Amino acid sequence: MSETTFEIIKNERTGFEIKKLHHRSGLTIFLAPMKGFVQTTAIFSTNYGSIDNCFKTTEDEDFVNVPDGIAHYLEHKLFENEDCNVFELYANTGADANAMTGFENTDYLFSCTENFNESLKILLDFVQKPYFTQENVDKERGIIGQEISMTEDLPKRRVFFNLLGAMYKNHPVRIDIAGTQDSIEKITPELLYKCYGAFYNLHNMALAVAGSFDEDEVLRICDEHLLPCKDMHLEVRYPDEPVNVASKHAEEVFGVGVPLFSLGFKCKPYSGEELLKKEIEASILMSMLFGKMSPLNKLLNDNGLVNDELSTEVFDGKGFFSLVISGESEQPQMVLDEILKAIENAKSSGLDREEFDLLKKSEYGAAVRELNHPESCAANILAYHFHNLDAFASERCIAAVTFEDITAALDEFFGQDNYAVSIIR
Amino acid sequence: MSFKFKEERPNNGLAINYIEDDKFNTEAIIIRFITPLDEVMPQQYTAVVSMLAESSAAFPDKALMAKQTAALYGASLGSFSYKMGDHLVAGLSVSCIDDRCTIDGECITEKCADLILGCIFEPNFQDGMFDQSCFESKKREMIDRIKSSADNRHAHAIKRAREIAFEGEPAAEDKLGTLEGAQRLKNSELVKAWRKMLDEAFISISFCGGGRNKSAQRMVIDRFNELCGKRGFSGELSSLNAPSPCKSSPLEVTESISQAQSKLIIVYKICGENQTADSLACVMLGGSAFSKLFVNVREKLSLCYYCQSAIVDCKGAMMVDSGVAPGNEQRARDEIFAQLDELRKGHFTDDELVNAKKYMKSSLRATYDAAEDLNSWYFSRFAKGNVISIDEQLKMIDAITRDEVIKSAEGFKLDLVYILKPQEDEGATDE
Repeated sequence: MSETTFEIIKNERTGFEIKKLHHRSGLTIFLAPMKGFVQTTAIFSTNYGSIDNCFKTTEDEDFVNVPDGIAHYLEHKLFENEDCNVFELYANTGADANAMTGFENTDYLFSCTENFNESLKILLDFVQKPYFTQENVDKERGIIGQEISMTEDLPKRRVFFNLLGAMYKNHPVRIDIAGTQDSIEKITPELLYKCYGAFYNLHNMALAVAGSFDEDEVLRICDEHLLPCKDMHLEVRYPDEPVNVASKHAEEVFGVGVPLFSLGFKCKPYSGEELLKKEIEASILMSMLFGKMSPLNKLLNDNGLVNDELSTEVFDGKGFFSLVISGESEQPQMVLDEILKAIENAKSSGLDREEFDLLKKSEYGAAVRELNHPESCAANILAYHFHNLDAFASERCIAAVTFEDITAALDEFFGQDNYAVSIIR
Repeated sequence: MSFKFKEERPNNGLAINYIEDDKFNTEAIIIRFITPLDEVMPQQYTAVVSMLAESSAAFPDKALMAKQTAALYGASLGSFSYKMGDHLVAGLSVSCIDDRCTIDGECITEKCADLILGCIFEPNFQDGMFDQSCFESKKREMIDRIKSSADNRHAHAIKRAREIAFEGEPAAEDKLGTLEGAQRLKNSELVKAWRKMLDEAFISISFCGGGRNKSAQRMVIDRFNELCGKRGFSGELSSLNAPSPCKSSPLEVTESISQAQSKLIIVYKICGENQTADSLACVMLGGSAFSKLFVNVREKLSLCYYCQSAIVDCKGAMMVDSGVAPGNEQRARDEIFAQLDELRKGHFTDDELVNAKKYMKSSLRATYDAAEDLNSWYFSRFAKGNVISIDEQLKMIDAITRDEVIKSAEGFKLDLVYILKPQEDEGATDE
C-alpha cells in the first residue's frame, strides 16, 4: 500500500466516531478522540496469542511448531532492548505501561495524562525492535517460572484450565497462556526471533488510540516511526479438533474450603459476525437458564446446594466456542445434575419471553458502559477488529437478536450431551 | 472536562458529596455506614448489607430483584464491607447508565434511587425478622466464604500478615469473622445490627457520575435527612486514621500451607507524618515498573514475578509483598532490605525522584476519567481527615524534596516478616 487512507466508523445513536486508518506501512490504526477526558491510552497489538503455535510464512517451506508459552515469553522479552529496559524509558514520560498476552492477541499499552507523543514513540519503537540474547532469555526464565507458580496457587484458575483440558483434545487453548515449567525450558533466542518475524509484522497488527490527543501528531509520529514491511502472508494452523469432548471428567485435590466446579458445553466454533451473534445469544441464554432470575438459581439456593449464584462465561475464539458454568458447592455432582435437568426442562417447556426482553435491556446497558473510559474503549476496538468487526458491532447485534434466536440457540448449544466437568476439592 | 466536587454536612452524622463530570454516561449512588470496629461485630454488618442488597419488601427474593435491575438496563446494585483504619465501612451502591442513554429516554435514575432506598429502609422482613430463607442462605454463604478464605494463597498471606501486624487492634479482626461466629449467627441479632447501623453509624453518601440525576439525588437526601434529623447522632467523624504502633522488636513468622510458591510479606510501620512524602517513597521503593524492587528483585535477580510495596491507608503502615520460589525467601528478603536502605541513604538519582513524581501525578490525574476512581479518591481523603482536591494533591507531590523522601524512608520501621511456605513435601529445593 503506498498511501494512507481512512474511513469513519460512526455510532448513529450516540454520534461517537472512530477514525480507521489503513497506514501505508501496512498497519491498521484506530483513533477515538474522547471529549472531556484527560487520559490517553494507546494499545499496539498483534494478532498473536498463546494458541498460535503452528505457523508458516513465505519464508518457510513448511509449517513450524514452537513450544507452549512462547507468545507470552516474547511479550516479556520485548521490554528489554539493547540499551535498557523499556520501563526506564517510560519512567521519563510518567506513563503507566504494561503488556498482556491472551489466547489470541498480545497487547502493549500505556496510559498517560501528559507527554503522550513521547510515550507513543517509545511504544512504536520498542515493539518493532526485538533484542534477544541467550543471556537475557535465560534470565527471564526465573521470572516467568514464578509467574507460572503463582497461577498454580490459584484454584479458580486451575479448575478452569482443567476443564479446558477435558473439553479440548488437541486445540492449544487447553494449555495455560504462560505455558509450563517444562515448555519454557525449550524457548531459545532463535525461536523467539522466528515467532517475532512471523507475527510482529505490521500487516498482522493494529494500533488503537483513545482519549485526549492530537490526531495529526499521532499520524506524524506513525509516519516517522513505523517501519514498512512486506506482507509475509502468514498462515496459522490449528490441529484438527474432534467434535466431542476429550474427557467427561477432571478432578484434582487442592485443599480448598468448598469444592469448586466448572461445567463446559463444547460447541462448534464460529467466526466473524456470526461469532459475535452466537456469543450474545449464548450470554443471554445462560443468564435465562442459570442466572439470578432463573428458577434453577432459586432451587439451588433454597436447597443449600450453592453458596452464591452460578457464574457463566461464553469462552470463544479462533477454533473454540464453549459455554461454561461455574460455582462452589459441597455437593458439585448434585448441582451438575440440576443444571442438566434445567436445560431439559427449558427444552420441553420453553423459555420466558419477558425475561428475554429484560436481559436484552441489560446487555444493552453493558454495551453502553464499555465505551466510557479511554482504556476500555481502545481495548474494545482492537478486540473486535481482530475478528473483522467494528467497535459498535456488539450494540447492533444486541438490538437485532430475537427471542426466536435464543430458542433456537437452546437446541444448538445444548443439543448434544457434549459436556465436560472439572472439580477441585 | 467539567469536573465539580461539593461536600455538605446537612445533619449530624451525615456527609453528602457530589462528584460530577458531564462526560460520564453513568450515575452512581454510594451509601456508606461507618462504625468503629470495636463497637460492632463486623461479621454481622457484612451479612446485613449483603442481605439488604439482595432483596427488599418490594422485591422479596433474588430473582425479583434481578429482574428489576435488568429492567433498569442492567443497573448494578451491590453491597460492600471493608476495614479502613479501625473502622468498618459497610454499605450499598447502585449504578446505572444515565437517562439520556436509555432507548426511549426512559427515566431510570429515579427508579434506582427508589430501589436502593427500599433495600435500606424497607428490607425483606417477615414478622419483624429478615425472611428466614434469605437469612439461612446468607448464613450458609458466610460459612462457605470463611472456609474458602485461604483458597487464594496470596490473599490469604496478606490477610495473615495484617492479622499479625495489627494484633490487639480492632483492624486485626477479619470482616468475615470466625467460622464459629458465623455458625452462631441469629436472625434476631442481624435485625438488631441493621437497626444499630441506621441509628448509630456515621453515614456518607456519594453521588458520582454525570450529575444529571438531580431528582434521584433529592429523593435520597430527603430520606436520609429525615432519618438523621430524628436519631440524635452525637459527635462527629473527622477521620478514620488509626496508626498502628510499631512492635518493640520486629516479628518473624513462618507458616506453611499446600501450595507451589512461597509468599513473602514484609510490614513496616510508618513513623513520619508527611503522608505525601511517605507515598512518594513507597512508589520509589516498589510502586512502579521502574521502582527499586522491580528493577533489582525481579529484573536483576530474577527472583520473582511481582515484588511491590503499598501504603495501608489509615493504619500508618507499608506492606511489601512478593511470591518467590521456595528456598529463595532469604535472598528476596535481603534484597528488599538492601533496596530500602538505598533509599534511606539517599542513593537514588534526581531522575528517579522526578520520574516517580511524574508517575504518581499521571496516575492521580487519570482519576478524573473514571467515576468510580473519583469516588474512591474523595472517600480516601475523607478517611484521612483532609479533603483536598486532586489538583491540590498534585501540587503537594511536586513540592516534596529529596530530603523529605529520605526522612520518610528512615521512618519505615520494620515490624513483621511473614512467610507462607509450601508444606514440607511440596515445592522446589534451593535454586
